[in-house]
Amino acid sequence: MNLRNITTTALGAVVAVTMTAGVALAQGFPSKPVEVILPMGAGGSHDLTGRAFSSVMADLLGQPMIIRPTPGGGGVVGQEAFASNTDHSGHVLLYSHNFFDQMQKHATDLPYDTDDFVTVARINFAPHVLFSQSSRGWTSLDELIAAIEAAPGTIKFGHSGQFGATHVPGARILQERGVLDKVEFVGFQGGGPLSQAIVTGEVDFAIMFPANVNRFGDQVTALGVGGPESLFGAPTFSELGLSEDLGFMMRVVFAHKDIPAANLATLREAFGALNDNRTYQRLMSNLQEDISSYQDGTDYEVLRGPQSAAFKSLVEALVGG
Amino acid sequence: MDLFGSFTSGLGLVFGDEVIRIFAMIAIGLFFGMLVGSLPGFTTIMAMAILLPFSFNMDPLIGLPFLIGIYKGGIYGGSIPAILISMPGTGAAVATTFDGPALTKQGKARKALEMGLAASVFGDFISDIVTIVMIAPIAYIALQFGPPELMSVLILSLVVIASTTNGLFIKSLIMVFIGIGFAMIGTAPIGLITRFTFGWFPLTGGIPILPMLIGLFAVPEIFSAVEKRAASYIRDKSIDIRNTERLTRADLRRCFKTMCRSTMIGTWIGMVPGVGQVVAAFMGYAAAKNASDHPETFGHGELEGIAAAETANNAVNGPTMVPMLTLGIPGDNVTAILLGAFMIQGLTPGPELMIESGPMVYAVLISMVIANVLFLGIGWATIPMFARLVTIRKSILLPLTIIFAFAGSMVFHNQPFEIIYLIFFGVLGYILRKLRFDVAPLAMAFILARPLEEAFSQTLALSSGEMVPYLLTSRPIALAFLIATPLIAYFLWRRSVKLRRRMAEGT
Repeated sequence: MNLRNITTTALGAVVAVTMTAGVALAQGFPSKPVEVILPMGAGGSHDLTGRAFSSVMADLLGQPMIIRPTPGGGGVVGQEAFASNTDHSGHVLLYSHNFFDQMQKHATDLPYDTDDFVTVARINFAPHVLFSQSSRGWTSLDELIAAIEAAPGTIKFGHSGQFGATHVPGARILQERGVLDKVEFVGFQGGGPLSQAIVTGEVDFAIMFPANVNRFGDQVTALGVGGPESLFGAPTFSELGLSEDLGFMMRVVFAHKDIPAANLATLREAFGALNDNRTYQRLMSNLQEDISSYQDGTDYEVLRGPQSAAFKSLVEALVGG
Repeated sequence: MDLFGSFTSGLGLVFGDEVIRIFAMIAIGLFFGMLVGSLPGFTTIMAMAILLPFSFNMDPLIGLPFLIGIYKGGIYGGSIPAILISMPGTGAAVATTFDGPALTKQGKARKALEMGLAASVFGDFISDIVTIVMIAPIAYIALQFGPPELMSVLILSLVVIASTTNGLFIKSLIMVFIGIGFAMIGTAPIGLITRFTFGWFPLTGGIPILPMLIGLFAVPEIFSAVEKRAASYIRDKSIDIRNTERLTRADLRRCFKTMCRSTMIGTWIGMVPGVGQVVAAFMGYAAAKNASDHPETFGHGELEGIAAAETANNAVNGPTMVPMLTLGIPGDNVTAILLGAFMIQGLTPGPELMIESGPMVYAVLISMVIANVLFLGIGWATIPMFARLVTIRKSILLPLTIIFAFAGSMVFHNQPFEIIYLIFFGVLGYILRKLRFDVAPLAMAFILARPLEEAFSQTLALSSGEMVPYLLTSRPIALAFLIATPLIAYFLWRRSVKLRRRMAEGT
């Protein structure tokens, strides 16, 4: 890409972004740029993967795709902005995850119903990795649990937000091993501050995703991973006898359920072509994000009901316990 | 490769075959950053997030400096509406509104903008060089600051802010508590508990910062301009802004000490992850006011005030990059985006990056220094355009400012209820101004209260509920800041009493 192209493209982008309410130029769907509401802040892994697919979507969909971070209220503000949007044509989408989609409603009162959302595509999923500080000397989950039982209230679990993607799985594991009330929970707002607490040794163990754990190198020891495959030399949660209904964060694109069927089909087709796009492959590979776990919206819809039931029982157990 | 070897290789990369493209992309980034940053309602973070995908297809050596250009340009751009129409786009520009608009009304908008630019470039340039030379010690210092240290620095900052602004200390304290009260509204930083929303959903996410800042600072300015019925926003319309009142060497000499002091403050604060430009600008301003022989001129169009705030908030930029580059820890939202930009280029920040791609890290740092030089040139060339804005008739400028205020409040989130916040805080700001309250401590407390609450609850959890023994035995740095806080508060209070006495005596 030469300098002139880059300049022209950048100018075009600024114009496009500031004119998002632009006039429809053509008939058919999409007839204008597609806006994707992100119920999180800029710079996180959702934002980056969103920008990876939105940067190539103009070629696949025929219209630019604009990511609009709308953080606040632990995802509630962005999800509500999507739910209350009256444009149900498919020009406004939501890029969220399974915890915001199916778990939050069991933990708090929401001003919207996520059953009004329909899946366009599951972009991928990231398995959870349970790990401890290597300096603590625990090389397995059993050793961690033994240490917690030996010194209740002193060992600290770091997570990236209450009822979020790393808090609930951690609580579930501790609950299943009977030590939930013997651990000090230290919450951080997002993965960045949690990473710092891990690097500085403020917390003893945590749950994050493979890309994060890679960055910590030898400083941490993986004790267990979600998903079917072992990672970092640690056994899977099912091998450890832990339940399998958690252990993943699913990155999912939603439309409103009233979207016309043809428009939903167009969107699903465009997203379905993502994995064949070389630029997308390169960007996701650089982000250390898996693309093989892509799933079509129709298939993912089947998973949402059982997920909700599992989350419901988990939240009830956690709140009760 | 050792650090010096990496540095020389980094120099070779920057001044190699791609030198012209690197310079060109930094310049483009700076220009867009300034443009977007100067639009009320758009922030540096938004500018970077919007333009990030354009770096995906560039070589890292070109794409990363492009983003750094946006970063630097955006921060300076935010000071332009703060100086001209008292409309701070971010917390970092709030301290600039103390003296900027007053200078504008005296017909010195161009001088104020030039001072802002010179101060920004000075602070940035020196702190970038310090960063390059001291990258390892800075990384070490950053690691010493966990939640307890952050909590103590934020408490100290609130005390300094309350005692820096104009008027009675007790009035500032009242404003601080009201600001904290507003920050409590919404969902708690840790947990899904919502507070003080009175069942009104828009409050769930808390009060958004932009409508609040624009409402508190810009709307009362509009009201008072209407009240005064002056023909122009500038009181003396006979002043020709294009030719007079430029920044002089004498001005720079007078502000040099202040700029050096603010650079030091900003560089130190930049090493502490999570504190950032907001605190730096206020600390720089407070230090300049306290060191001055004529503190009474601060807040009434003192050029040193702009120099102090703008130098300090830009001096944060260099050191903030260090935890991100060397440890993979982003200290704020901007460095979080840069971290993503590195990753998407196939470079994973962290200790391994320095070993595997040391020259690339240094090339990025060196491009930050180059960006400052280009920044000075581009900024200087565009200032007359911005300065002329306020010479237009008030009958045109005021409606334009109102449009900027409303559009700026809701342009990015596109939420109509943000207009309600703008009107509420506009009216509140106007009433408080009439009652001779300074709204800056309110805004600052609002910005800092949530990180403070978060750091406090984390400290409580880390200490297993035994905070005092924990601080006494395990966190000496946090303890030192907490002990220093009442001493500094007493010193600042004494000074403000003396100043008021001096002003009353008319000496």
